[in-house]
This record gives sequence, C-alpha cells and structure tokens, in this order.
Amino acid sequence: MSARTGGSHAPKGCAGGQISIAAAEVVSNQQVARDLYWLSLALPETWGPPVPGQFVSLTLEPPWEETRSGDAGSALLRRPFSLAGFCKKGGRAVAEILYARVGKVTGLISGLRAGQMVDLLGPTGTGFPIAQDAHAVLVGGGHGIAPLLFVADVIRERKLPFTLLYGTRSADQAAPLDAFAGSVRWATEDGSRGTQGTVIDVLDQLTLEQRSVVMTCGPRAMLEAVAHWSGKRGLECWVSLEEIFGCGVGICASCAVPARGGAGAYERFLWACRDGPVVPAERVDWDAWRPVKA
Amino acid sequence: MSAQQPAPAAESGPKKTGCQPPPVDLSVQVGPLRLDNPVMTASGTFGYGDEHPDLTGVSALGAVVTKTTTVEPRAGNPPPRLFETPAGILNSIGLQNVGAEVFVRDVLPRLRELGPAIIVSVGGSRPQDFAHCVELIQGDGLAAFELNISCPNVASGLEFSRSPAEAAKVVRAVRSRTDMPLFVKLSPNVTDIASVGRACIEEGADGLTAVNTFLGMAVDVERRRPVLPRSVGGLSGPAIRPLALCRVWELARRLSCPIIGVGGIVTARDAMEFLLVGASAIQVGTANLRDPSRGARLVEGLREMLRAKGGGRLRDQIGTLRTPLSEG
Repeated sequence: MSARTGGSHAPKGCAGGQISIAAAEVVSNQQVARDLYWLSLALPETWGPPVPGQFVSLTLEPPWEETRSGDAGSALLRRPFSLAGFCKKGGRAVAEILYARVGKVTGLISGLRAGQMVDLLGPTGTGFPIAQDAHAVLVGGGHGIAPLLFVADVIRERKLPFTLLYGTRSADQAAPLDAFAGSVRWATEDGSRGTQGTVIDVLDQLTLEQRSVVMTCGPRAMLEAVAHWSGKRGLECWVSLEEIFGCGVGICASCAVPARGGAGAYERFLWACRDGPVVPAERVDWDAWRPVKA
Repeated sequence: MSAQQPAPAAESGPKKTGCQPPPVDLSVQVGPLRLDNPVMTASGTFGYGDEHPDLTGVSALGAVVTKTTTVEPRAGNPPPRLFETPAGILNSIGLQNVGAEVFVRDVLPRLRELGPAIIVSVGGSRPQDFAHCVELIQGDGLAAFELNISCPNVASGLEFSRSPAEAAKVVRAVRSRTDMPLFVKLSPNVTDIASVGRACIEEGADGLTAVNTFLGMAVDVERRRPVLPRSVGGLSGPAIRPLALCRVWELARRLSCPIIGVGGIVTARDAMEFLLVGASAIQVGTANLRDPSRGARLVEGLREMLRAKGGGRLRDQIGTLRTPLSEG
C-alpha cells in the first residue's frame, strides 16, 4: 500500500481494487457546511474496493454517442475527489465524497439529486499506509479532511489509536464530523471553534508517547508545514497531493509535482495521480512546488 | 493484429442474408502499413500504451502511438502543466519521458505484447538527435516511427515544423539511418502546412500526421501572469476539430501521400469527417483523458456506422468528400 516512487514509469495496478468506469447513482447529496457538501454514490457491489487515500474522477456528462459529434458538455475533463468513506450496503457499494463547491463543475455537482446518475472512474492512486503498531495523527485542512475520514473509519474499525485534527478558516466552513465526536481536535483561523490558529498550533499541543505516523491532506502550504513539523520530530509523514489532473490514470503527465530523491531527469517530477496522491512527505520538493510569488 | 500483415480478403459488399449483420471491413492501408482499423492514439495522451489495458481496451486499436521518446530522459515542465479551456485543454507537459535506453529496455518489450501496431513517437533538439533516437529504438515488433517535429512546449520544439527546409533536414537525417516507415507530425502553427508536408515526403517520409496542438495562451487575471510555465501551450480537444479538419483537407487536396488525421476527434462521426476529407487513419487524443477507452469504443462505433449503411469497406469512404464544386 505504500506509495511507489516517481521513478516507476510503468504504472502497476493501484493499491485498491480494479479500476473501472461505472455509472454511479446519487443516494444523497447534502450541504454540510458553507460551500461544503456530502455526496453518497451507489455502485455495483463488486466495484473497487478502494483503500483510504484513493480517489475517483467524476463527470456529469453522459457517455459520448458515436453517431453524434463529440463535444465537451459542461466540462471536458473529469474532476478528481478523494474518497471520504466506503461501505457495502443493501447489495451495493457506496462511495462517500466530501467536496467543496469551488467552481462550475462542483457547482453543478452540488445540484445533483437522489436518483441521478454520474459517470465515475476509479478507484485510482495510492492509499495511506495504516500501521498496526503506531498512533495515527490525521491532519486535515478544509475539504482536505475527506480522505482522512476514510482513514479514521478504517483505523477505528481495527481498534487502533488515532487523533484527528481539523483546521478551517471558521467554524461555519467545517463539516460537523458527528461520527467522530469527541476525538476531533479543531482549529479555526478566527477562533470560532477549537484552537484559534492553524493545525500546527494544535499539533504543538499534542503529547505523543508512542510511535506516531502523520497523515495529512489539505492546501499545499499546510502540507508543507505539517511535513516540516513532522520532519523536525523525526516522524513518518504521508501527504495527499493535489495538482490539476488531466486523466487521473497516469497517461497524460499533467499532474506533475516536483520531487526529491529521484535518480535522473525523468524523476524530477512525480505524477500526483499515478505516483500518489499519497506519497511520503520527503518525496516532495516543497521549495520547487511553492508557487511563484506574485 | 500487427502491422504489415496482409489484410483479410475484402469482404463482399453490402449483401444482406437473413439476420446476419452485413459484413464490415475496417482495415486500412496507411502507406506501407496495413492496419486492422484506422484508429490510433495520439502521442502523449495515452502514456506508453500499456497502462491499464483492461480499462483502455487497447487491444482493439489499429495502432498505438507512444508518448514521445528522446535520446536522453527529460524532466518536462514545472506545474501547472494543464489548463481547461472552452471545449479543450491547453497543455505544457514538455516531453517528460524516460529516454531511449530505458524505453528500449523496460517499455518496448511490454508494448510488443499489446496487439496493435506500435508506432514510436520520437523527438529531439537537432536533426541528428531524431536520427540517433530512431537508431536506438528500431527493431522487430515495431510498425513505424512518428517524428514529433511540432511540440510547442520545449525549446526549439517548433523550429523544425515551421519551415520546409528545416523539416526536410530532420527527415533526411532519420531516413539515412532506417528503412522503417516514417510519419511526420506536422504543426498547424504555420502559414502553409502543405509546403512543409511536401518537403517531408520528398525526403522519404511515408506519410504525415496532421495536426499537433495549436499554440494557445491563458492569463491569470488576478495575478497578471500567464497560467502556464512557458507562457504558451498547446491547445487540443473538440475546440480545434474544425481547424484540424481544415488542415487535413488542405493536405489531402495538395499532396498525394497518406495522412493520419488528428485534432479533437471524440466519436466515430468525428473520425468519419477526417476520413471523408482524405485521412487514411485517425488519432484520438484529448478525449482519452475523460475516457481512456475512447479509441476502443470509437472502433466499435465505426463498425456500427458502417453496418447501418449496409456494410462494406471503410477504406472505400476515404477521400470521398463531395464538395459543391465537384458536384457541379
């Protein structure tokens, strides 16, 4: 389940089950916070199964018809979403997606109603490694909390120890996380819930007594800060990367992220969709990935 | 399935017997290549070709064109490499690839097992780089090379495709080192695409692939910066289909060489447009990004379209466009 290095130019099967293109039925689609929605999608029971950290790519467009001219519809490309949960229910597989309404396509997705169909490609990418003998420190920022909820589900099922940290700008932008009530440490920039500040301020409050593994997903700057915090303490840290994806299956080379430790020119960039999204934090060249200053 | 095998004997015309679907023959002749069907992948949109074969249905394709390989491995461009536009994408990948040595050692053996004809796209900064790359890669189990003289996203990428004399230098250098079929991928970012194409054919190219991406640009208004790292990128997708089709038509009218049509093709109907104006084969590119099985589905779509017309040979449709003047 560990992330493969950027040097493996031959994508193998992903960490989870078989990748497929499937029609998924909307079970529910509810707003859970300001600009934040929870989408449940039903798939054939044999779909996947995915591992926590993997993603799916959605399009709202119907399949292209061969006898018609092929157009882009509302958008040409699919949009990738890390899974926030997965279960089997009533003879079907149910994939959970927590997403932020940020643009045209997520705006359209937010309008989906139960019974409508979407086209889903996945499960794809690498997952978070879940160790039997370590305390998991899960750090999510904004809608980046999504894959860590899936991790927390699995860890709780296995009765392993974990701490869930959740940072947002304000309380009204945070998903409620009722399922983990009592085990979430909140941080908000405006102090409207939990610690005023960032997830780093909450990490600084933690007393870690046993071997800990940090897993994180969120804005690039937060990932870098968490990676740096972990590195200073000698803690293993796994990050879930986001870049602009083209295909989501490692055939277009669009989602390049600057990498460290590669053997040659080809390995200077890893592909977030194929080598990740989950990679060891030390694989990322954070200085090179920082956007050009305005 | 491989190239250069004799095609199955042409099936008889649109005779219908009982409930049997009418016989359909999708095979095409592209210069020296005989392909089971005219559907190829466009370089750079389908990896090396062997990724997720069950998902892509790669074995149904007429040919796979690989990601461009250069002599030395290349890093490619920094992110962001992609920007979605109305009905298209701008890309600035920059030929990230493993290099010829690793390609031959690790990738090629797997491609030989895929089934479709394998066309290796090669690139370089100088004519001798193209030639050297072809020398390193050529061998059994390959159908052809496609010379990528038209990548807009690397230094000197467009130089060779912008003048007939420069394009000729690349083809001459490569032709002197190999007898394998050569196709040259042309840039649409020129005033007279046919003169560049003619120069390539005169130097011994077996056909032309038309077209590579159109130069395009997007600006981040808030930051007052170009979106892409090299300011400009290559536009592809349905947005460019009419532009690409027009270039293919122009080449077909002015030259008599085989042409592989590419640019915004998504469905079988789109493919038929290119075949009717004179392309002998077509490539599916950007559409693979939404649907990695697009090419395989398009093959099936062509079969169905031909069946609906009563069967027959797809190659009989090639270049049969009826223009108002020729009708008159």
